[in-house]
Amino acid sequence: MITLRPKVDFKVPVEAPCISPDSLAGKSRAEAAKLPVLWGNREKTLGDLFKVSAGKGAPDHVMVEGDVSVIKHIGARMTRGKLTIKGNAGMHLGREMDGGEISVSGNAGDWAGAEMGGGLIHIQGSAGDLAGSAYRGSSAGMKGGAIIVDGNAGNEVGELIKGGNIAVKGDLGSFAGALMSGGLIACFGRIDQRTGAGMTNGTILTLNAPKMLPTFKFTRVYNPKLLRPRLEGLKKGGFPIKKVHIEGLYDRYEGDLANDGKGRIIVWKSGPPKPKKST
Amino acid sequence: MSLVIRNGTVYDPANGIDGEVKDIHIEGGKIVEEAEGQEIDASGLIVLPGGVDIHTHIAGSKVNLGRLFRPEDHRRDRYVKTDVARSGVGYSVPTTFVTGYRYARMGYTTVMEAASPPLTAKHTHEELNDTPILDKGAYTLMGNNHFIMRYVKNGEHEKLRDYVAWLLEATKGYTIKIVNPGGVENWKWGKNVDSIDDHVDNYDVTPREILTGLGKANDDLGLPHSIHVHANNLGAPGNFETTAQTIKCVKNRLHMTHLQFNAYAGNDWTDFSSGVPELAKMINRRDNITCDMGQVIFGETTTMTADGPWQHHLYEITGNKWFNADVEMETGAGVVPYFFHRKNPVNAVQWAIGLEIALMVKDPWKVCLSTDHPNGGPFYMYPKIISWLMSKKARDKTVSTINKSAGKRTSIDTLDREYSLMEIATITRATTSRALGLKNKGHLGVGADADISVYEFDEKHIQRSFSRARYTIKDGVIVVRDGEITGSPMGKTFWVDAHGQLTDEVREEFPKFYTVSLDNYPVQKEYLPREEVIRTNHGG
Repeated sequence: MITLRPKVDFKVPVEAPCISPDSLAGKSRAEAAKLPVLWGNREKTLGDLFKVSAGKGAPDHVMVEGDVSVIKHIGARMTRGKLTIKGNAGMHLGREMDGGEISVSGNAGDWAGAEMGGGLIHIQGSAGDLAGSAYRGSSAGMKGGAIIVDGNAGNEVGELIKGGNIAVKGDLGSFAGALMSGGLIACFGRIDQRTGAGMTNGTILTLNAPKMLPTFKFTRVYNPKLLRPRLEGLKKGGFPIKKVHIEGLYDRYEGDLANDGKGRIIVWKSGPPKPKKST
Repeated sequence: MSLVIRNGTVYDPANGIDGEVKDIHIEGGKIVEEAEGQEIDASGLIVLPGGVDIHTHIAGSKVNLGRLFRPEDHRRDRYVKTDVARSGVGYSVPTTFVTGYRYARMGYTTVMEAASPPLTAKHTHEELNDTPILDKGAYTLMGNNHFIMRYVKNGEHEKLRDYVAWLLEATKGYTIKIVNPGGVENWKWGKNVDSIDDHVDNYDVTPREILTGLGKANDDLGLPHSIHVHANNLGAPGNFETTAQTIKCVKNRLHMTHLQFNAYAGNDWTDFSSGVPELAKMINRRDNITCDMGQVIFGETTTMTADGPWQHHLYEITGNKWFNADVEMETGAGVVPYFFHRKNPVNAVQWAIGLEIALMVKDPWKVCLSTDHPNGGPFYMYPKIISWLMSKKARDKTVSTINKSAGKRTSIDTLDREYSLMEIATITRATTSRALGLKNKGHLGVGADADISVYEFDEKHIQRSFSRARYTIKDGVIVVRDGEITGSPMGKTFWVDAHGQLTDEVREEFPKFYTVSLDNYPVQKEYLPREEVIRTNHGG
């Protein structure tokens, strides 16, 4: 296990995509300390900014202890191993990652898990804007994997996603799942306006009715059986999901009709219907 | 500054020098008989004139729109600054500086921006001025211009000729560029033309009349280049017949550009195949015509052309983001990202057709290398095309990895021709500069501009050999050494002065239709800090 502890006051943003199991696993303390980072516009090494120690434990486990909220691109493009951050993480956490697991005890900046293809990001605090989204201009955001947020998340979360799961225990901002074409976004708090704008496919599940766009059509009340395993999984992960949410009834809206979409926004309505008494 | 390149193996097709070991002497930015000064030991290296690109899109309004709406294209390709070179981004629509550096690193020294709407010519020149190292020129779009169609319709040939001359001067343009003649005008009414005898609404002319009218005006004015034609029906299956008609109808000098996109046989996408044999036969028989390949490179790129209807159609096919524009009384434009897939039957056939053109047109003095950058692929893939042309093995290797339709629907498998170094030097330097009428470019004779590229040629690694020039020399100054930029001087801009006069008729009509005043329309001198004017004989 490699442990990093900030040893300077960063003052300016730092870009350090090398903080990832892919580049740190199996490296000695000295080798790890030599990896390049950008401190503002100056080239520095990891050892200049962090106290690096190589300890026992899984070789592909990287631990960051301390506030690294100005450090961008942590875990970018990672494919394996585990990355634990005890503190807040900066922007672009785990962008374009394809595997492995990132866990953050604090908050994460904007663009967490942007365009990721696989793996898991667990943010125990709140996430910023654009988690799991496509970078500007790209045609696809997240394609697989999962982003779990215990707190709230910002605006434009899950924009243009094609697959994968995003679950937010708290509140979600505006434009959640805008232009999405696959995957699932689940919000267990309140959800702001223009949810699913332009979506063509995929599912947005919420417990509290959002302000629905007029281009979504109410189709029916039903129980989404196909989503049960995922809800069970989230329940195990500590999400406030009760039996009524798993077996209960949801309003189903389809759209965005403005984009000829076949996406679904499903809003929890009530517990399961009581069986009719036979007379 | 003087320079001597010693003992290089020289390939200079324009002067008939095919692999002779000799010295090249440079003084004052020109090639001279005898000079003394800094010496470059080029023994074991090949020495070619600097590359000349006859058709590329590197500056102007639609190129910049491509840049603006493709941030994802830039993100994956960064160019890091050095002591002499600025930073920038690529990939298919690179920044102006990166464009200059990448051309120079490849040994190219002169390039031509192939489509500049008169109304935004200032923008084109501003960007050309920010494209370092290279000498440049811009082609002025004329095929759907209000005044031109009017004069063609009325049969007022002299007025047409004078307007063309004035427009070239006003836009500081290099040649008459014709894009989908009549079709772009019809597109403004939601229609297109489907043959060269189709009708252009509101003007009562046909593409044939526009082509022959401008072809005649071009030769009457004695412009250095021929008319530069992007034919009707580009991209449509079966369009080789339209192309053949276009070639037949123009009796004057003619350059058919990115011919690959206009050489398709078949009735629809399911029986899409090659129409090159027919076209190659026509080109082989005629002496008034040159063409460039428009080769496809597999991968992602950004298509951009003044052919608005085609770009809208491409959006309908791909569903990608798109841009389309109407340029007042002159032309249109469109930009759509596109991905050429190896496994796509149509894309595989397109790839083979581009190479067929270069291999089936017998005379290398009639064909130029191009990708129609960035439409077929980025210009810095030219070395890859050179490797395909020089090696049947390299072609076979690619054929084996792409959709089988390439082998079945084209004759790419049966073509054994392999280009020699001399022929490569011809299609990348000599043919292009001769077709453009650039007397001091594309050769190494005494008096030529000292634009020279020196490569370490390795037969086994052709692509690598041409990707990084050992030296690129521009106006006698070493700008690239071992594939790295060592100097970044400003290049010249060529434009053609055909002694045009603004007529009272244009003065009167112009304010009725344009959103700018006539005084603000022409490109002022300030936009050309380093110019080279080519004056024609007509009227002067």
